[in-house]
Amino acid sequence: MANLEDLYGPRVYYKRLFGLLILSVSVLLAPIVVRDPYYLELLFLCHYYVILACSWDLLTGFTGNVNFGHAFFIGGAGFAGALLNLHVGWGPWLTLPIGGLVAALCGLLVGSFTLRLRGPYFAAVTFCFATLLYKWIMIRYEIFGGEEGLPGIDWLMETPLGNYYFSGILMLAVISFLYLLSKSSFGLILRSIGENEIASEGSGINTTFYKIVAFMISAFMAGVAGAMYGHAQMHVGPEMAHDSLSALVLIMAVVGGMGSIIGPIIGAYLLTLVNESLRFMGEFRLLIYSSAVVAVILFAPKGLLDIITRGLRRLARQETT
Amino acid sequence: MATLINILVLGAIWGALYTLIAVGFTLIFGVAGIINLSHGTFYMLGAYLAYTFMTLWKINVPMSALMAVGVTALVGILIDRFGIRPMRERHVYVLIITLALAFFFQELMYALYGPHGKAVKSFVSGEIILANVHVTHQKILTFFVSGALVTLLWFFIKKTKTGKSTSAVAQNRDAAILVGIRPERVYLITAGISAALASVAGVFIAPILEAVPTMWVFPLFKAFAVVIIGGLGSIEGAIIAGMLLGYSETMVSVLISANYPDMVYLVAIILVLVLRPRGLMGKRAH
Repeated sequence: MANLEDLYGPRVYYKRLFGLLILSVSVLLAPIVVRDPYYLELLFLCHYYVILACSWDLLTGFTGNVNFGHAFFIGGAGFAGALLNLHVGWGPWLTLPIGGLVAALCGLLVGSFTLRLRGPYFAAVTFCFATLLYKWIMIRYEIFGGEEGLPGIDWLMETPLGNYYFSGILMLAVISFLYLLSKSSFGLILRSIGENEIASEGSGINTTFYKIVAFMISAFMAGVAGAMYGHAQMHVGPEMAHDSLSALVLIMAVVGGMGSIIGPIIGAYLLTLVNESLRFMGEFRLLIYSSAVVAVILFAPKGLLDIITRGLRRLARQETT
Repeated sequence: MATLINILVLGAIWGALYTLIAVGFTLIFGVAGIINLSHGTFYMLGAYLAYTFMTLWKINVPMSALMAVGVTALVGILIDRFGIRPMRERHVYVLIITLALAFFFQELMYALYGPHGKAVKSFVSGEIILANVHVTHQKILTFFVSGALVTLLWFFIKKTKTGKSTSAVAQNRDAAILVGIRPERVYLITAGISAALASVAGVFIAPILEAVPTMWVFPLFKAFAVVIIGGLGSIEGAIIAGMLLGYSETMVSVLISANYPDMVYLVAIILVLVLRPRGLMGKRAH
């Protein structure tokens, strides 16, 4: 059981706020050092995955319901935004929030059917919805472009730097929002569901309602990120709804450390950068990557964040003695 | 007439194969409470090992089939011992470690064998023709082997001492410990059997479909579907649901379009979970 003092005490509060401030400053000032468009694109990807991993973590990390179909929201909103942009001509300023809303509605629909199921059943249903969407995209290729996807979407910002700032600010907004949420009574209720759902129900909490709301918020964020990704690449493809994206997001959050906001941030940054830096390994890249993931999950089942904090504590103890 | 026979024959073959894959999946869930997402990996290992032994090393068919199944069972036991045992009680962890392992084996197969399909020669040649429908002997053999193995598993669990101890652990772990059963040993045996059954399906599918690194996904979905429709942990349910799924997919594929069979199981899972979460034969949804 997480100690309440650890989560809500004033010292932790300021520490976290300080961390958030450092992250914001470094995200906003990084382009002074990083000018190469390649690295800006890479950091854009990091921001994208941070939003996805953090939004996934809101439902799964807090309440323990494993969502195996995050790509349902990412791809669904990506394609909704792309179709609106191509056929109706709405720009990113409209398609991003609308993509998010579409995803949130899907979250409401899926959640109200399935969030009363527990454990593996919920995981199975979310997974099925994502796969259904993927198959649907492939079958109705005249609408969704099939394997090729839909090219020719309006750009998000005109330069990589613009994309970088847009995604960076969106990411910071998501993190700050999740941070405030985790401090609120809403966050506390979600955690209590994660610790013991029956006890929470017994305390008069309508757990299904809270889980659905959390699922909708999670879906909304993933949807906005999905629509943003589509505009930034000027292309949406079926891989945005593929299970491997769901799995990647899940693995990022788990490797970093579920149920903490910092964990998924670490996981998303680390795995995106490691994946890119292993590119010189050629065909063995994914083998090394996946064995590293297995090793982390085996030896640090609570995520890297847990290892880091334990290491820091040990260091601090050594200094005082 | 040809359509009817096509549906009956192909449906039976696919149904038997799904059942063979799914009984192992449901067995390990029923006994150890584990959703093993690397179950499809055992099927893939079966196919690749069959390719390695038969096509590359030129070992005869029965010997290489046995070796392939044996090696896969060993892998299943090792995964259970070193991957799952430390955190058996945490569902989320088990889901994630088995998923990560499935991806690891996919990449391992890429690295070892490359992305292209690896074909294995049919174990038996020839085919029979029923009202213009060609059925290869290989497919018929697959059907009978699947049926025989599922029956054998049934007798193992109901009649032998070891089999009874697995059901004892499934019913009540603490009571099983009290009568002298070691649950961890039962888990290892179950993991081995479960992996071996999926591997047999892989060995026999290798000549029909080629072995590719992503082939683990499809049987995993199917096993998941069969087990959810039939009820998690119920072997009877898995047999009924496996045959149902085989027939309904073949019907959709023959009568409507080859694009849609995959929709069948996805919609079936969603419907079952929404309307009757414990499945056809499941005991209790939780």
